[in-house]
Amino acid sequence: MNPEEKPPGKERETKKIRRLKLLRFYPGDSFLHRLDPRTKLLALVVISIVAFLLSALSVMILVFLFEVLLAVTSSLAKKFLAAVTLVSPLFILVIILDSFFSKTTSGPVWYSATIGFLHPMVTQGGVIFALAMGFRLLAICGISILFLMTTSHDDFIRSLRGMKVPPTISFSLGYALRSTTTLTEETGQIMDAQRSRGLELDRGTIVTNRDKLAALFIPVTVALLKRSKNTADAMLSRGFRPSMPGSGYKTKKFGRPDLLMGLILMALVIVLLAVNSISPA
Amino acid sequence: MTSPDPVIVIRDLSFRYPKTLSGRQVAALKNISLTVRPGEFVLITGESGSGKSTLARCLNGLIPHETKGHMNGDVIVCGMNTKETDVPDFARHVGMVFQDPGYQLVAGDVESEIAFGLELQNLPEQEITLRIEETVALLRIGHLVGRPARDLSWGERQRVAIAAVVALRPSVLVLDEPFSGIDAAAAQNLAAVLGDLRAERGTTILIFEHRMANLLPLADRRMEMAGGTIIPGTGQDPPGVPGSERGRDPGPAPASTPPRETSHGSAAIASRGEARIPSISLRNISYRYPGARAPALEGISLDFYPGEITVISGANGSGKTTLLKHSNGLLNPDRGSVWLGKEDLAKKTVAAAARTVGLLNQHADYQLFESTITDELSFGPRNIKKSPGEIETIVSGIRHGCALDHIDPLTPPLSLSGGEKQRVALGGILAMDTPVVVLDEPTFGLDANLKKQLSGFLKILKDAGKTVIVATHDEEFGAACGDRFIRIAAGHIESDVRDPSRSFPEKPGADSARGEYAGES
Repeated sequence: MNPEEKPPGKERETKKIRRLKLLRFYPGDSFLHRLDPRTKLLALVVISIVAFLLSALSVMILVFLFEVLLAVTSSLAKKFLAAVTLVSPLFILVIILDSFFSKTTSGPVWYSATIGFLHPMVTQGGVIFALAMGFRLLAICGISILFLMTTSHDDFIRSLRGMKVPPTISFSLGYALRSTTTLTEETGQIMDAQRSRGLELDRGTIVTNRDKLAALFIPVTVALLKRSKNTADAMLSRGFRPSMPGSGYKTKKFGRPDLLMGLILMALVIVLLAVNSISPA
Repeated sequence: MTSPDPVIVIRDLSFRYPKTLSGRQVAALKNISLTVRPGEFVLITGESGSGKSTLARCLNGLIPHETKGHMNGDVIVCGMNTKETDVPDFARHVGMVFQDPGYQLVAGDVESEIAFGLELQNLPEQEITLRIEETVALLRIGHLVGRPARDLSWGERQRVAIAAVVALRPSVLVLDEPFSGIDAAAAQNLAAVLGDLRAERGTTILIFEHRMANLLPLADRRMEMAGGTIIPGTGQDPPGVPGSERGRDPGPAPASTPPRETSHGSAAIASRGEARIPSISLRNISYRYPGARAPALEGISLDFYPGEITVISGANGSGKTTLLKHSNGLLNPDRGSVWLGKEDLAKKTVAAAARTVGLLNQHADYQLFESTITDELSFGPRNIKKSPGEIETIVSGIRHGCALDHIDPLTPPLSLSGGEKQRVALGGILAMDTPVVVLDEPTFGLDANLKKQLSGFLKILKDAGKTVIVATHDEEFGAACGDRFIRIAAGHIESDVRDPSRSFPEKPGADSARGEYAGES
């Protein structure tokens, strides 16, 4: 009867939800924070394209390290790494699958078999390729997470407005950024409510609990629809017109940090291309 | 003195919602005529479903433009007919504040929120800066500027939502049930701000609300709605005179009513010296939300006994909800332990604890998902493996207790009105027939009549020997049904008494302004 006893393996589901809450904007005044959202969007696109087109493991690791460095300069390193672990199940899955069923097979063969029509084969080259695919995933998710963590959706909307993007699109994109938090919060509340009504979600896996999901999905959908209808009405009442963008207040402008970021990006791309060409295929 | 041109003219307004899938016709408006002069402060009261919100939505064209249904008659606001003018064109003239501020805020911080509407009016940046400063001062929200929107409490969000529409300098301000989510101190404060607004800007203010003690001194007129019409003659009531309001005042009056009279309650108190076994004990629990600086609860020890209704009060953000979430393991204390009778809660999952503790969460209408009321009510009992026969008896009892027996039990709960959904959600918890019933803000969206019914039902539960714990910001409701009154402030127990007048401050706002609107008098 120890009052200090730790609860055994409870709150598992809620912890997952709580970790999702990491994916939001953190106010700050770092290099990344000061960038024009458009610059960050450009960085997001450039890095994603580079990661897709190149395939060397060293390139992917370099990109990921670059992102970690950016996170450190924004003093978000811990939160960034914690958020990246959200994709860890996918990361592991990609590595395992690509190791066994790799497109490139080279070097010493470590394992080979024939199971029905499948021919899994693990080779040194295959494993390196698999690791590269895993880090490609991390690199692409990482830059998106950084964007999310350092861009306030207000700034984002204003930048898009400056680019003459139609208000309906710019606002929807921006509001979607903000909604990551509201949605996880709402889902958490609904899970709490149903658990309080005796729905067992703390035991079993998503497979054994699949027939219980209706109790979550329906209320989540209803809440979402209700939120969008009410928010739309409130916005109309506040003067929102799909056809009129409106003026800007404290719109971020291109400045020296943006120029610097542009140069860094160019340098990064050149370095990555060079690294990719000298690393073994 | 000639009276100025009216700012709002409603002529013979009727509105019908389309029939729902289940063929129910939801409350609408019937032949409403109303004239409001500039600078008037009008209070419109009425029970849930009397058409208050519908009428509010007619004032800036949301009806007929955005809400499906059939409208007859004319609504002319600031010289514009709502049939001919689009909703966004009313933004500069009519400020709409909806019931749930959470839906109304779209920006990430207070400054951007206020700027949002101004940007949409194409105002230059200097003008926006000026307007923000002016509005922040007028609404007294200087302490909120710079804080991210998601950290704000309900009351604070509401204040920001009001600021965001007031910044457009509308000549009419419409508020739909602004008091439903805030406690007495915050309500007092809000009433004062609205008074300022009228004095400084001459803004015409229309409030649709059923809690009105704070508003009566300010209101020029009070109208009552019922069944979609304004009850004839109620518009002439001079403010402050009718004695009928006395009973609603959260002053000392309720102290002499129910709590003492209930024989079970006093018996329970009398037997207190004997060894009674608490049904829930919190033993020195502390809890801090991950990432939060201050603990949400610190060193709380409380025992709750069967046959007793405990009312927990405290300002928004004081830790009421956090405390209740410890009663069934939704949250686990960082230090200390929670015991259900002789069982340690830490060893149970929430679903297992649900056999002992039925917890109704805030905004519980979120949780509805079944296709009929009956299924919804029996969802909980089925989860905790009650027999079908048992469930049937319980469900029919609950339908009566929660005032749902006039609705076809095969109606989909999601097609019900707000107040009805709340009652189904409540019924869903009570149907589990747990020895402990914990309710977080159960009166949200209920009018005076339904609250009375609920407090009667809670007393029946108490007499059946159940432990009832209710967190509420509604002093009148708490005082009317509670046996024991616990007040929480900043995660600590501030008082734990059996006399409601000592827990709820006599003058709202006298000592409970802490937390929400700190620093204002």
